Amino acid sequence: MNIQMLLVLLALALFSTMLLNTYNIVLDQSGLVYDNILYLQGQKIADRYFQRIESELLGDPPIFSFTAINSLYSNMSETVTVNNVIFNVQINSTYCDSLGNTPYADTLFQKVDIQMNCLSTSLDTLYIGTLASPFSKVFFSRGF
Amino acid sequence: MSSLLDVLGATVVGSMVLLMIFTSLFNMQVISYNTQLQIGLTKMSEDLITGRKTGSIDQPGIESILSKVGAGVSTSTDPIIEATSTSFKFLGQTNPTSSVSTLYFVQESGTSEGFPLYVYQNDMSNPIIGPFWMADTLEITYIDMNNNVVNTPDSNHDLIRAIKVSLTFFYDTYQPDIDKRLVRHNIVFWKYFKNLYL
Repeated sequence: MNIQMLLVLLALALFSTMLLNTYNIVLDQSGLVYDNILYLQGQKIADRYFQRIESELLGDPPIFSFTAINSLYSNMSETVTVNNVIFNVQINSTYCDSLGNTPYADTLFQKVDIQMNCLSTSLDTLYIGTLASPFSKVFFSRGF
Repeated sequence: MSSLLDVLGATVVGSMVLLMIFTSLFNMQVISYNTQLQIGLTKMSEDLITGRKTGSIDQPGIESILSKVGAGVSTSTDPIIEATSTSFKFLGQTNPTSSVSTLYFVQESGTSEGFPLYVYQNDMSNPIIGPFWMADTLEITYIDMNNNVVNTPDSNHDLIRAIKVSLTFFYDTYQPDIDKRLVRHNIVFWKYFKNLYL
């Protein structure tokens, strides 16, 4: 009788483990989907800053000169709140060559790097673009 | 008597275990189903914003349509016709060889289905896009060249240089009467009107 009871309890424990594991996998997948939605929103935020810089460089004369853009975005930190999620955005601008390489910098080109982070659905920090792999765009001076 | 108590005890414990198992399975199914709906909703929303190809037809996205503001419009003409928080009517060429079109991006009156989003081109009774049902009203914010919000956009068209658009799409869940707003997708995007900077 005691052995039977122990076997039942063991089976229960094993089955619960399997159930918990499956539950965990389903929750993980759900978390991945919601984190990817944050990635998509992060890309839209990065695109906003690229559009803004492109626009500011347009016109004759433009709103900001090429050097003013470099100075303004050289080390800019901003927060953008979307759907109650706070995105901490870091923008850096550096002179570079036409391929975006900084060791051979030329004042005709500048590379704008954008990285950001926010809290994921699991409350971990989600990095959207990193210091080593940011969203990057190279801008060319129109002579202003 | 003691056997009867054993049986009753086993029944109670067994029922609790079965209840736990079925509750877990049900929860897993709900989470999986909602995740599946969320993926579909996100894909649909992104397609609407960025465009998609259906068969051989390229369906332009809202971002692409909004980028036409002021394209091919002479400097003496105001390219913006209407600018409110739920509608934006403007002039622009949709391609380099076409004539200037009137485009209208609007959220119309809400119904029990939600708030319908439409895009019209020239013909204001036959939309080229829509309806797409939103959970909340469309929120358009107008931005000037200094990145400040334009508070009275419809009377200050000349200040507008960009817009911020907030859209919230949703799915009817399998129990719409209980939790219609469960699966939602909020997108915020910005569009800078480069033609207005030139």
